[in-house]
Amino acid sequence: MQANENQLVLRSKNGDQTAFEKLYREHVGRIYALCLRMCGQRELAEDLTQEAFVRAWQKLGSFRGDSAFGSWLYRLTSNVVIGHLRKHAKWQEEQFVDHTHEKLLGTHTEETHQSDINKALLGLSQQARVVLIMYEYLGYQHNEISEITGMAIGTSKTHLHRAKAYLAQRAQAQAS
Amino acid sequence: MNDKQNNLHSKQALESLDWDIQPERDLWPDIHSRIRFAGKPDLSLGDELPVAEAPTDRRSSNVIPWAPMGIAACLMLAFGAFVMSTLSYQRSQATYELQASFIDYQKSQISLIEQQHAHVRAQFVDMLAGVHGPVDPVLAAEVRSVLLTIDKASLELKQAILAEPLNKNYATMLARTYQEELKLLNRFKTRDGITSNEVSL
Repeated sequence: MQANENQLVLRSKNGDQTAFEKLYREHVGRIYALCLRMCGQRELAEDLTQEAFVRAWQKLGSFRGDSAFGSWLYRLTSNVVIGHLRKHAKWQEEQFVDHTHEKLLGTHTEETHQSDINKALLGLSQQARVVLIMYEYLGYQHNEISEITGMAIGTSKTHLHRAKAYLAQRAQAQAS
Repeated sequence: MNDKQNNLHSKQALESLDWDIQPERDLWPDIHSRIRFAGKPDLSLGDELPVAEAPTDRRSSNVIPWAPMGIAACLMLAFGAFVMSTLSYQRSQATYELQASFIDYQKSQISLIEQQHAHVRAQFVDMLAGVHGPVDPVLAAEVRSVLLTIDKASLELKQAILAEPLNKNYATMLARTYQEELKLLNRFKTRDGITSNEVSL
């Protein structure tokens, strides 16, 4: 599997678009999910997924194979999403609760438990949500998050702390 | 809950989410159209043009004058209709229903413009690939660079439209961006009078 992926990466580096399409088919689900969880809007997530794969094609030469291609693509995607959010979206300090977007995540088709977590995620500010996903799911450290997002390390820590407390608070409220 | 419990809960919560979701539509065709003319990854744009192939159909090497003119007319019509609707909208009372219908109408106009643009882009891609005859590599590299700029600008405009659907200026700018690409295509087709220094918007 890994050897096959390495072959596809090599062929893509040499301009083989068919090989790159196979890489796309293999990874699009995870990349789209990451974009969707980070930005919270279906259409925007599709645009960002597209942008991430185009960027990946352009930057393939810089992929040296030190890590798995999927990890490299994940990092590239998180950079694309954050770059977009910093320029356009609600990259704000305050916490907001905007449940009008919940239906955009398709929660009605998911398990109730997932739906509750989705709602909780959407209740976080954009910055807090991004920090939480980057730290807990992608395994970034605060100094790396600070470097990528442009926020201070202390701010990143604060967002993470508040996000965790908020999720726990929501979980408790659901349970009671 | 204390901090330790919060940490455990948030980690478990994130891990329990589905992290492999297929988008509702296939994104590959759009990605493919954007990377087709970008050449090999991480190579300078000027060095890696595909080798020009001999035309398989003699007619395909000739410039068909009515095709770009037809596309131009459609673009102008769509743009005209959009401007007219915008002006009439400004004169009317802004109610929520009107705003909603305006957004729907704007979406349909943008969709029409996007379809026309796809035709223009397809012709560009064919010409850059040498389907209609040999292409000056320096000129082609310049053109591809401009197309990449157009793609970047149109992506940002589309995102701006999503963020502010009632702002008519972004849609107007998007239509103009595509019109500039059409102008560039026409100049590129009659490239007797164009040099790489002239390729700019």
